Amino acid sequence: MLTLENIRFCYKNSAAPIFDGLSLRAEKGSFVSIIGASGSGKTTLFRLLNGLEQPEEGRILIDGEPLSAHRQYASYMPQQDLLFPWLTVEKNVMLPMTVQKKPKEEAAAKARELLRQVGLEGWENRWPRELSGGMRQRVSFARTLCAGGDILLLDEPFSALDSITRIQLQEWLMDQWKQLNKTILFITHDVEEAIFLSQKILVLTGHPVTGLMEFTVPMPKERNREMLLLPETARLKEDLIALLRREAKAEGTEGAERIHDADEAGIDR
Amino acid sequence: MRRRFISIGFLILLVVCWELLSAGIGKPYILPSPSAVLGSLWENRREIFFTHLPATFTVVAAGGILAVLLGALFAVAMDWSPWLMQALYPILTVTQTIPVMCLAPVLVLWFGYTVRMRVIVVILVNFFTVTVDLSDGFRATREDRAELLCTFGADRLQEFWLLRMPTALPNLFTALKISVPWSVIGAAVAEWLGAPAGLGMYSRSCMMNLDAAGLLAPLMVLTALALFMNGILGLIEMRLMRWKGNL
Repeated sequence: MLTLENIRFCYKNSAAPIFDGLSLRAEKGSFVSIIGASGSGKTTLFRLLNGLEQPEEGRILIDGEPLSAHRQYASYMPQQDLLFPWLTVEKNVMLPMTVQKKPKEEAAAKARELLRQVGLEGWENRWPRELSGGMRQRVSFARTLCAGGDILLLDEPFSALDSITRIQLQEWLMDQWKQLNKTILFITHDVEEAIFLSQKILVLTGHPVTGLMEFTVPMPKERNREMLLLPETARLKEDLIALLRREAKAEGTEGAERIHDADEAGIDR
Repeated sequence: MRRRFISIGFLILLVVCWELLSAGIGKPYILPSPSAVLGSLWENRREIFFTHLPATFTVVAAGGILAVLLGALFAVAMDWSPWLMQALYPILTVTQTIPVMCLAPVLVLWFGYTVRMRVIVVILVNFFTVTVDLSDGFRATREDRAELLCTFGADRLQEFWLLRMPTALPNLFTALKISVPWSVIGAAVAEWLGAPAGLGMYSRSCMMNLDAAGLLAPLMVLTALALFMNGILGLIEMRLMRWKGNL
């Protein structure tokens, strides 16, 4: 289980903290979506979780132990695929194992297995430029799995894709999650995407964020797109949209200043 | 393929025009014909290819390789240390505008008419280009890729070999392709100032004798040498950068 306790965080060169007293819990094997208005700190939360930033106060615990006691507990999948164009698809996938200095043969075998799992068997020796947007995201996902973390941090992985590919990949990700038995934290801007994929939705509100609003998705693990039309699901969607709208409005008055601060510090929040 | 035919056809046309113009002027010591230049090359082939070409090639190769190594070393050091980058980069960009060739006589004063002097000329001509080009290549590294590698647990050395160096590779090849002809020019100019052997020195001695065909013959060899070396570089580049598609 992943636990965040009373996290306080502020970027250097920025006066206002992003988080102050933020706490969060994600059960093992769960699919949790995180939504929030632009600049609410979604990406910052992931930067804390994958160790790119350190909290000023508070603790991040994995199964009750501090983060530092775990190596590669979380695997991060960025918004853009960030494939290395000079590496073949297979070598891109095995990159985390290359970094971890695992034997080449073992890494290559693992990469081939993962590529088969994401439906890209036979594409091992191709270059990233030869792949479509959807295929590139699947390679990026395979690379994330290759990193071996129990928690997958997916940062708006489908935001750059066209709507058909996006729907296909959402369903595909759903299947992957059921098979993998991994905890997934999924950042998205898209309320419908969050409802369709997750069991729990966390909304970042306030400036700084002091707590998260938690919503349980009223759908079973086995679900389909038609269930999005059920009255309780539709109501959740309306509630979330109304909440985000209120946040965006509040953001309008004081947010511009904070975003300016973050821009000055060169930070994508 | 068609484009290549057009350019070869145009080249032949130019050579024919040159031949006709030379015949029209009728003063071979002013404008020798291409056939006369080739004739001179054939006549003096032993001297040119077995004495002067190896001498020039040694200077080009030694100077070129050292310039690339030294330039790369500086670029890597600047990439490693932001302090060095801030201190050196502006100076290096300014020094690029210095006509290094004009410093060659000073080097003669310091080192005499030695191989060392000629190699230093070649190094000075190329060093800045390699450093600045490679340094720009390193700076083109995407920060988000670096952070991704960091989440995999990569250290700085791994980041360098897995990300920064491959990012800078196209810039390195650009620098190398510019360096090849400049190394040849640098070596020839250094030989012009004075050398026991070399194509530049041979060309100069022909000028003293008003032998225009003899003056141009080694220039042809120098051009062929630069083209040949750039051809090899092109092949290596194609091999190393297949990921880019049609180069």
